[in-house]
Amino acid sequence: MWEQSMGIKIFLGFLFFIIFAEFMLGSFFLGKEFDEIFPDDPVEKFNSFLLYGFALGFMVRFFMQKVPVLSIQPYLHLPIKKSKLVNYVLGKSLLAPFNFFPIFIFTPFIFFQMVPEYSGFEIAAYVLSIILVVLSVNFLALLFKRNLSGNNAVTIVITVLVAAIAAAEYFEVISLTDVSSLMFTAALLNPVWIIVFATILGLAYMLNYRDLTIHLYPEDNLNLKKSGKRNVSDFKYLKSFGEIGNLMILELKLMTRNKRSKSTLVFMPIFLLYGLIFYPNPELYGQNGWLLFVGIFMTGGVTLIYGQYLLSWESSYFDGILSHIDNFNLYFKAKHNLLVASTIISFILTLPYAYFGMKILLINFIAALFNMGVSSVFVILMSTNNKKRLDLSEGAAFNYQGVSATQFLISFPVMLAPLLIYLPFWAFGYYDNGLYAIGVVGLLAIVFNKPLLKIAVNRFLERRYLIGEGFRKKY
Amino acid sequence: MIETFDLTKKYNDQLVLNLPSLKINKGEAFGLVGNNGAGKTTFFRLIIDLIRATSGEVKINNENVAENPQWKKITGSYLDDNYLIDFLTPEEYFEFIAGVYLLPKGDLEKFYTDFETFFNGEILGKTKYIRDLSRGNQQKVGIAAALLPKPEILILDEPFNGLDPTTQIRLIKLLNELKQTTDTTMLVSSHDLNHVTEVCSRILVLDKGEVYKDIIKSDNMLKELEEYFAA
Repeated sequence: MWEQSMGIKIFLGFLFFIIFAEFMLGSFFLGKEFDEIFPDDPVEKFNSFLLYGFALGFMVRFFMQKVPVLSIQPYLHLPIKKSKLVNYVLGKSLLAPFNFFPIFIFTPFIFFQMVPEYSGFEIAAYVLSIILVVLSVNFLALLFKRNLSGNNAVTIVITVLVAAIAAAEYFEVISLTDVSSLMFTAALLNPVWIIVFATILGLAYMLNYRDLTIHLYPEDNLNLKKSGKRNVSDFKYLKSFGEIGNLMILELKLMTRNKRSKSTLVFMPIFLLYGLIFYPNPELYGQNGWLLFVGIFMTGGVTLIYGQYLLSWESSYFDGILSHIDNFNLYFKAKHNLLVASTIISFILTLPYAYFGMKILLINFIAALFNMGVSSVFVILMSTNNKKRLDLSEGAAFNYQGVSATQFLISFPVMLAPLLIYLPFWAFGYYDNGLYAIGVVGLLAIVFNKPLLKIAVNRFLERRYLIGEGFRKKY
Repeated sequence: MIETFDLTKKYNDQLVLNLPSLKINKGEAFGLVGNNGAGKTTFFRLIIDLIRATSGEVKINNENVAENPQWKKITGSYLDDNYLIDFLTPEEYFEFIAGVYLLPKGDLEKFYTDFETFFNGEILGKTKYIRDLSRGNQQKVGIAAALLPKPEILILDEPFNGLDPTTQIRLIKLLNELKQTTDTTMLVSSHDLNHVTEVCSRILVLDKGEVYKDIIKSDNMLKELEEYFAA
């Protein structure tokens, strides 16, 4: 266990390091080359993007930044002044990584573009202004998140609003970039703006402070820990399928009623858009099978992303499953049915890609066959390696609970297998036959899904004690 | 009905349960008592095949529980909240259990009326998920779900824990009625000696994984138990 989790930490650490390094390099070159991209008045141009940058930061924070309110619950009964606790919570939010990103973006730019042009005093005023704005965004995002998160309507309204503003900008109805440019260039030249930004920050902090002081009790954070049955489907129509329907209903409720699974599935529509990047120019990728990967991603998104945590999803009630279910063939068949259904639905949703040519349709169809046959069973087989408990009430972004080597192993074979089938055909120039071969393999796997699933079931039965023991461990 | 043969369970070379052969007869109300770490839950988990025995085996109706899952359809159990599917409403949970046990439709309706007093108006007809119920009410849902399929074998691990006094008394009554009117084999563990002696006709005292005493119901059963735990 220890070696494995260590390995994952190293892997993730490495991944983060790469991303971080790329980010650093990117912002370094952006700062260095900015005046070559925008030769006339680079600083004003840079400033014109800032409002959008901060808006983006706000959105990202709204969805991802943790509200540290719940972390003070254990201290509420201790003789510590409330104001101290509130200040502590608010102060702690400053340590969120989102507050440090701007440093890497601004430093190279200021160094390369501003230092030669402006006085130290001006730059200091500018830096101070930016810091004040970043902190204001931090507190405003917290305020909004605490009061509005979990409210889907608000999320939609915000998204639509941002899209509308971007559209208005694009069609030159209004120009936030001009406003942005004016505002921050002014800050550079006239330190009075610091007072304006400081006032905004002060207000944002005070609003947070007041809101938190009033709502310090755990029950006030109900929209963070929601309760009550909401208006959700209970999938009654599946009842007619009898025993297997019963299990499928459970899995669907699991998907739709828990934060972790929901926030995983929210990414699915984005997967479906993946094709827009590649499909408009199929001839660019047509001969090397790359488009098939796109097809597999799009039609198999749910299978791969949701499927990789199968069993783990049920870790909180797994003893109940183990003691009640006597037919695990049926139990896994129910999961298999849903994964296959998700591929069929995704395939139907990708039908409009036929606009880019019938070849695309064929590729998606073959990918769907492969996912229905091979990926679905493979994901189930791999799920028997899962033995880490997973908390369903936490979001999915940046959440590594329940992550183990399984999750990384899962996607490789699903991606590599079609390539291996395709490769020999490709080598001899039979591109289409290579595609058909993948389809045939998928079809065969669909036909023989029963014996294939049986392999997974048997493996599960062998490992059931291990899985159950792992799931019982809370951490 | 239930037999164990030289059952042992070790965790990292530490022996947590060591039972000689034990036989629990059909219709017996079998109580399990012991301090924390005595191996009660381990014993129950071994019976319902949640953990692998280090040695020995458990048989229900002469079939090894680890090899043949037939016992599942005739066994109802509730050990802890690792049983509860907490994103369901209680009704949905009962429906799911009824579906797993393949109960005919009318059974669920009858179950709801039978358990009306036990639920005390706090479980049914609410639009709350189980995760939003209080601990006591969650416990009620779990116990009721174990009883729902009218199992031949009923296994409850510390069912009285977390229940309010009224429900504790009702549960005792319910189990006693079950004992008198049916042939249910009951396995109940508890920290409360009064509760077990009121329900069970045979009590096994576990001490650090070993059988300390196997008492058949008698008038001074409670006294015998109190003496052990006072020592």
